[in-house]
Amino acid sequence: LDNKLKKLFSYQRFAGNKDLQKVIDDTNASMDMLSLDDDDLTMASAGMGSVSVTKKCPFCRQKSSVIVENGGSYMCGFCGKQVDK
Amino acid sequence: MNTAKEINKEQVYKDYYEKVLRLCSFKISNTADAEDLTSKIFLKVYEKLDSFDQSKASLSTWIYTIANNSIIDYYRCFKYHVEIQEDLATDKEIDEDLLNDETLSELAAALKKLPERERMIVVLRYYEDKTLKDIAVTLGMSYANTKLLHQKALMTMKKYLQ
Repeated sequence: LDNKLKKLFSYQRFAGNKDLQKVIDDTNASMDMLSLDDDDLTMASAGMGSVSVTKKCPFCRQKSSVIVENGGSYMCGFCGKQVDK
Repeated sequence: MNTAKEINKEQVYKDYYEKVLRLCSFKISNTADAEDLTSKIFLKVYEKLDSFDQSKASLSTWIYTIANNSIIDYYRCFKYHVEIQEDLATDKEIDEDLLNDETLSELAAALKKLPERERMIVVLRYYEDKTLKDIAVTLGMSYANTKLLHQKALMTMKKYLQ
């Protein structure tokens, strides 16, 4: 299987199958999120008074970009649950 | 021999140039060499187009095989010893049963069955050609855990990739 996967992924570089490319791109995007610290991802939304940060949800354990409200609560971008401060 | 005698060279170039260049650029780090080899591959494809037999392989697999073999030849031309990547060395023959769009979609479906961390390991190992040690560093995991999850991922994928 190891060899088969090497061949298939090499062929994917050439063939660019859309289904597989989407899985690869989504996986790479998840890895990018992992490699960034919360501080790196803090972005002030100029003029809107809100702050977008990456938070790890205590319910689903996934990281997602969320808008933190004044009280510090936010809605998980992954599972949609409300997380209170 | 070619059952589709009217294969248009211009169309072949249009359809496959980006694909061949993408493959070469990944396998060969030097951009100029990758572009040069891509041109040479198309010259070969044009030369052999008359002998292409559609009953043996699709045009896509046939061009991929020529490209792959040309990359192997490129490494062989080096004065200094350069280790040929394993997937290149074992992929000299046309493997129409394996190398087709359907199998790639099956692979996509199999990857979706994996937990996120295992999917990351598979993508890094086979698509990005990274070693398990490098993957462990990239994902901030121990080498032992990475190795274990890699094995687990392969066992899961085996069920879906027959």
